[in-house]
Formats: sequence, structure tokens, C-alpha cells
Amino acid sequence: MAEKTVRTGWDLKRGYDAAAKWTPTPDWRGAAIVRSSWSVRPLHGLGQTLLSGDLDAARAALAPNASEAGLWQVAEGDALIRIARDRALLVTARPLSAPAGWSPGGWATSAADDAWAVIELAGESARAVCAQATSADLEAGSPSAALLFAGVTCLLYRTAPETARIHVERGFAPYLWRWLETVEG
Amino acid sequence: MLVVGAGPAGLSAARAAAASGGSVILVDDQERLGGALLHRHAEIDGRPGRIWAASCVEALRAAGHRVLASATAFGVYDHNLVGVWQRRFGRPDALWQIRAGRIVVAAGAIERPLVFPDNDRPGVMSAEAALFYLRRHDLLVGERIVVATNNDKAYAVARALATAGARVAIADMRASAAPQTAEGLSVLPGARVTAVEGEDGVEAVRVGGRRVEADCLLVSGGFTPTVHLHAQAKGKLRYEESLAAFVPAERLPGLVVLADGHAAGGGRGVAARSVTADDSYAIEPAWPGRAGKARQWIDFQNDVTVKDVELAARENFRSVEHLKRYTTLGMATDQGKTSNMNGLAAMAAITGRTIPGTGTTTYRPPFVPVPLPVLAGRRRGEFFNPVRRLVLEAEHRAAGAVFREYGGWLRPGWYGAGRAEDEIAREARTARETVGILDGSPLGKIEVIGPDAGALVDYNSYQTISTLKPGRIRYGFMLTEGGVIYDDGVVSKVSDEHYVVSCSSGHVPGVVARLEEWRQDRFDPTRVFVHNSTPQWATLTTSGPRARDLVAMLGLGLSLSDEALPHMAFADTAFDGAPARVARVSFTGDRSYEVSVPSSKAAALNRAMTEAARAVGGGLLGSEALLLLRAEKGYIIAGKDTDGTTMPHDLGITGPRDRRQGEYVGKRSLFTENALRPDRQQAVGLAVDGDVPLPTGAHAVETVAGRRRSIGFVTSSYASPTLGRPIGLALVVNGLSRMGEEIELVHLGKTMRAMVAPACAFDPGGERLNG
Repeated sequence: MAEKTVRTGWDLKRGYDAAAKWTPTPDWRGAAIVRSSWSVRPLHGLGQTLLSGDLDAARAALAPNASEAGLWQVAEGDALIRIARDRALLVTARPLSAPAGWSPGGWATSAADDAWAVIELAGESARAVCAQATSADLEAGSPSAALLFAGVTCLLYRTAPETARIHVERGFAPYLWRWLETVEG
Repeated sequence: MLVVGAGPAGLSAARAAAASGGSVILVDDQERLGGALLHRHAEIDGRPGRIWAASCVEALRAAGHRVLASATAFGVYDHNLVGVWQRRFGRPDALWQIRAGRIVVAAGAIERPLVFPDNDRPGVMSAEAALFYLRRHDLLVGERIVVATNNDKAYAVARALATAGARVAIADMRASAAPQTAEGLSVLPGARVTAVEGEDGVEAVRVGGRRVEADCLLVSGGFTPTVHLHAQAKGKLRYEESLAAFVPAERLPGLVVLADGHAAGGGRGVAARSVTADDSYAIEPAWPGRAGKARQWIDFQNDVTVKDVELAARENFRSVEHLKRYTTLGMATDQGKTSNMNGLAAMAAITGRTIPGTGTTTYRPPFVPVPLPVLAGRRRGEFFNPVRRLVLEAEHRAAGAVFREYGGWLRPGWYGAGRAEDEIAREARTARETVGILDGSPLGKIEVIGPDAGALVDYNSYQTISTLKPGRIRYGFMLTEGGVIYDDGVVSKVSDEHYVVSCSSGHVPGVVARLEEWRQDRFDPTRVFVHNSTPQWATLTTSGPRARDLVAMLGLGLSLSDEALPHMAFADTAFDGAPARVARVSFTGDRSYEVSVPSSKAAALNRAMTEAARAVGGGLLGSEALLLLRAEKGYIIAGKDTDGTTMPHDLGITGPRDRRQGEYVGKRSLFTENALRPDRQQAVGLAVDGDVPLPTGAHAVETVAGRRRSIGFVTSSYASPTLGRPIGLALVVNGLSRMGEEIELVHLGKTMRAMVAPACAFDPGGERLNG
């Protein structure tokens, strides 16, 4: 590939390359951020299914053992992560391959295995890192796990007292990763 | 516990809270902590106030509590979230967002000015400020000083200044004031300031009918408690006659405005005991009188005088909220700190109401102006307004892409290190001659699911959608409620209960929002749902005469005959063990296939398609070449080739307006007088002689009665490598009736000519869609 000169300015003729503004996307396969009291790694291979409508009926049909979790709550195993009163992301150990569309039971299903990037934030300072990303009252919690996290909409809950899980729209995952990389400490 | 203010009350509260075992954050807007203890004499627990304050701070820090100096609590937000701006010397300022279990507001009080003629003269200043200068900076503000007051607090100031060597006279507005104090100060009882003499500063003060030579006039109109944080938290206020001030009328959950610091801190430990000579605060209100010849300033920051308040009353802006907006009283930096009480008291007097009957304006954050960089915090550079990133970004970088931001996404503008125009033209030619591959992943893929899905997509669209057969696709517009084109796109029908709305990349959040809004407001929200599946799928579009050959090489197990998969149809299949969808839609006018796979399969699909493209002589296609190709066909980009007035019939598309039954968003607005106006701007093409494209944005003009006026503008303009000539799109008044007409255009003083032509400049019969 020829060497490319990156120039500044907005004139098309001068060849401004907007990529210069943005840190390249990480190689997710080996990506990790490790600090003395917290660490971050991407999680691959989880099943994610977006559900709307009768969530109880959907859970009974798709993952009857799934626990339900909202903001900062601890979910164990398969979990129904609430987004709104009638919307949730079903997170499972493996993709469900549930058919997309309408169920006669009264819920809508869409595959979301690749829609959200999943990042695990662990360590005794995980809570402190989250506090930099959001002004939400995590201890007070919320039935909905959706919040603005570092300025973008995410789902935030825990899988252990000091292990948080963040789901972020895939297009914003490189931004959030870069944001976490630059957290001090 | 968050304690706001490190004066005696705040320190007492913090000390008691710490003694109770709580975790304390103490913030104060001053660099040195102690509040009034730093300039007023006091003895606490047998020690000078300032020593006591320093020991409290030291003890708090030693016990691990956080003490922030130069830190202003500027606002209380939802659920008692407090914003604190901290000035940090040698380092960037910090924004603290503190959500405390309990907030103690010990923010003190602000001395009010007195209102009299020429009270803005240099040398007229707050009495408390003079004491501050004296005790903290050893600065005496004058040698011959008049202290005008209506309360006892100013006497300590006068004594201190006299002790420092100034000649001090006290003009006490209260008739009951003693004419002589023990310290030998001269006191004029019942004396009001009526004038200030001096050109550039104070030379004399007229007070109580006398002329007193002075070089400084200190004023103290009483103290206004700093209740802003309480009021921002929706706390009510009540007027306290004995203080001539508004004070909190109620306790708010989790927020205390101090009367007793020790009690507010939990009451543990021994309360501090203070001895001070400055405790007395007897006051008689001294509110503004009527306007006279000279100006009497109420709001020094916004230049509001008594006369302005009287004018507001005459104009019937008598509510304090109207007064504020009419005069700007208390706005901006003041936020009611010094002006509110005098302003509302003046209005109360003018209108014959009481002060509590007149009320106060609403206190809003921020308490002080906070620099925008502080609020921005880390949201700068690439953390400000981040773009969405393609799953295949690394592959595009490796392929030599030059990126641009399109609709909130970072996307390849073109590929290659040559001149941009050359690379773009090369890509466009390749796509027309063989095949091009475009990363179309950001295009909207919004699923509408449920028994009422058809009704919702119909309501959302200018064109009826639900009459499609499953597996078919329809192009259409989405209109605003004003009938203006919001976006265009295609809708795929999966089943009667499942549709996929595709829209422009930059419009995805907006289209999701409008679908959700109508779902909730017009439909039974249990019968239809909207899922934004855009990030789930990566879409690579292949377009050109060899597109079918390319897709055939992917081995998708699909029949690609035009009978099995005609234009505007789709088919579901599998790729690399994952579900895949192949849709025949075209934004270039050539045969095109959109292949969508889960994002995790994007790299594999990209490899396969790139190899296949190479085999048939194709190449990669950036967004700039796509924009060019679609312009050759006259395909619009909503927001670029339309503006905030363009309706479907301005593009010559009138069928749904004229024939469609039932409601849809924007329908009613298509029949208004304005919508039916005969001189609307309509979308057309422009043909140009020569080889220089028209400047985008150039105005089409016509001369009427010797005056030139704009009749439209160029919306898109390119040098077409396919046609070997420039092409253009424009919005022109009555454009559709001007076909073949030569029009004049102007741009930055240059005049050009072009001929109005059909928007579609290439393959008008559409043969290449199946070519």
C-alpha cells in the first residue's frame, strides 16, 4: 500500500483524512486494559436477544431460568436485562438463534448477538471507574439497566459484587474502549 | 455528607458528621477555608476563629475526609446530584458530580447594596468587602469613610476601619440608632444617603441633609441568605420579617440549609462554643424609594435601575418573573445574589403589594458561571461527539481508505493515495463498467414487529407499504408532520407482522424515535414494537453490471435469476454458518445486491466479496463515488437535495397525495395553501456546457423589473466520469415546468448559465437495473 500523507483541513481536494481524528479500532481478540485495581476485557460469544412485549412470557419460552437485573444489580447466569417496562435484552451464555419476529405469545424478538459489544469491568475500583462515566445513583439502582455511560447509551449491571458488565452499541465500542483506556489510575 | 461552605456553621456540621462516623466532603468556594472567621473576630472553643477553622480542616483531612477548597457548589440537580467546580492551580479545573446521602448547605449570606442616587460611583462598595480587604489583605479602602447602613453588622466594620486609622462616620438609616458609640465613632441616626459627589470617585456624600467629605462610601443593606441550592432543589422560601430576607420555608429530603451546624452534622460530640462581639443583627428594611432625576442602580451587572422597574410596572410586567424578563434584573451572573431583594421590593412598593406577596424569581443553576471546558470535562477531542465506527474499519484502513464522517459514522470516502477526484472517478467508472463494493452497514435496519406493524409502517410512510407481498421491498418517503420530506428509504416486508425499515445512516436514531413516538402515541403499544437492529448487521453492497456474478461466487445457495430475485425483492439465506439476507435495491441505478450478515461475519464476507470482485475486475467503492453515481441517476439525498420546505410533489411524486386513503404522517400538510402554491421550488437536473461543474450552493436567479432575485440553488454537483460532462441537481422555482430553459446562476460574484433538465441524467429508462 502506498504511503499516505494525512493533511488537515476540510477541502476534499487536499485529501483530509478524518481517520486521523480517531484512534483506530482495537483488535478485539486480544484487547485488554489492566490496571492495579481494575481491568477491562471484551466478552465474546454471549447470546443477546432483544425482546419487547410480554417479557415474562418471553422469558418462560426462551430462558426460564434467567434472572432479571436492572441498573447495577447483580445478575447470575442467563439474565433478562431490563431496558424499559416492555423491553429487555436476554443475555445468555451462547446465542439462542431464536427466530426474529412476532410470537403469538405476545412478544417481539430480534437477534442482537452482534448488536451490542460487551465489556467486562472488574476489580475493587470498578465502581470508581463507573462513577467517572455516569452520574446515575448506582447504589439506588433502577429497574432499567440503560443509562448514559461516558456519554453513550449503555446497559450496566454486575455479574459479581466487583464485576460490572457494560453493553454498548457496537458502533460506539471503539469510543468506549478508548475512553476506558484513558481513565487515570 | 456533603457540606457546602466552610464557615463556622459548615465546619461545625462537618466536624459533627465526622464524629458520627460518617464520610464527609467539605467544599468551599474560597482558597482559604473559614468563611467569615477569616475577617470577623470570633472566639470558638477558646481559640481565635481562624485558628479554630484551620484546626477543624486539618482534623477532617487527617481523618480521611475530603476537603475541597476553591470549589463552588454551583447547582443541585435531579435526585440531589450536586455539581462542584474546583479551581486547581497548575492543573486543569475539575468538575465534581457528588451524590451525597445528605447535603448541608452552609453557604452564608451576601450583603445587599443600598439603593440611592448614583450608587454606582467608584468608591461606593460593600461594607463587608471593606472588612474583607482589611483583614485578609491589610488593605484600607479609604481614609475618610462613610458607612451607610440599616443594620448592626456594619458597626463592626466601622470600628475595624477606625482602628486601622480611617476617619469613619456611620449614616444609620434607623432613627433609633444611638448618636455616639463607645468607640467614638460618629453616628448620624435616621440618615439616608441622598447623593454622592465626585467625578471619578467619591469626594463627598450627602446624608441626612449634610455634606460629609469622604473618599469612600460603604453600604450595608442587610444580608440575603444564600438559599440558591435549596431553591434549585425546588425548596420553597418564606419571607422572614426580622431578617428582611427570604429563608427556607421547608425541609427537603436529604438537604439541610443551616441554622445549627452541629445539629445538621448529626449532633455528635461537643458543640463548638463561640464568643463574639459581632453577633447582633438588628435591621430595619431599607428598600428602594421612587425614581428621581439621578439613576439608582438595583442590578449592577445588568444595569437595571429603579426607573426600569417603574417602567416595567407601567407596562404591566408586574409579576417578578415578567419583571426579570422585561428588565433582565437578576439574570445571568447575578442570579439574584445582590439585586433580587431590592428589585422585588421596589416592585412591591410600586404595586402596593407586600414583599412576600410579590415573591421571588426562580433560582436556577449554575450559581456562578462555570467555564464550558469544566463542564466538558473529558468530552473533548475524540471524546466529544464520537462517531460510530464500522466493524470493518481496520479492513478499510488496510485497503487505503481515506475516511470522512457521514451521518455520524466514520466511513471510507474513497480509497487510494492519489488525488481525491481521480480516485473517486476511478471508483465510479469501475462500478459502472464492472462492479463496486460499498460498506453500507450504517444504513438503517429498523425492525417493526407485531400485529399492528403494517399499520405503523403505513402511517410512517408517504407510500403505502403493507400491500407488499412478503419478500418484497418498496421505496418511499417519510414526512414530517409539516409534510416536508424527512428521509427516504426502503421498507422490506418479512411477513404481515414483521417489516424492516431502512433509512439514511444519519437518520437512524431519528427514524427510530419517530416510529417509537407514533407507536406509543397512536397505536396500541402492546401490538407493535420497534427494534433498531442496525448494529446487528453488516451490509456490503455490490453494484454494477458484474454484481450478479460477484454474488454468485459467494456460494449463498440462492437463485439469482431475475425471476427468483427481482429488483426490489430480498431473500434469506446463510453465509459462513450464519443467517444472511440478500436484497436487490439500488442507489446507483445499476444492478445491485445488498448482502447483510451478522457483524461478527463481516470480515469473512468482506474477504469473500473482495476476492470475487477482483476476479471480475471490480473494486472498492467509497461514499464519494456513491454520491456521484446516485446523482447521475437523479436520486436524492434527503437534507442535501431537499431542504426544510421540500414536499414529495416538489419532486414530481404526487400519487399518494392524490390517491391514498387513510392517515399518514404529514398528510394534512400536503393540502395547505402553502403546499399547493404554484411557485414552489422543485427538484430538477442542470446541464452545463464545458467541463467545469457548477458550485454547489450557487443561486439560480432571474431578473424581474431590473432586480435580480434567487429562484433556487444547486444542491449537488459533480463531474460525471460516466457521461464525461458536469451534472447537477437543483431546487428551482417551477423547475419542473422549465425543462429546456436556460437559467442564470451566480456564486461569489461569478455568473454562470445552465439548462434545466430532468434530474436523471443517466439511463433514464432504467435498463441497467437488470443489466
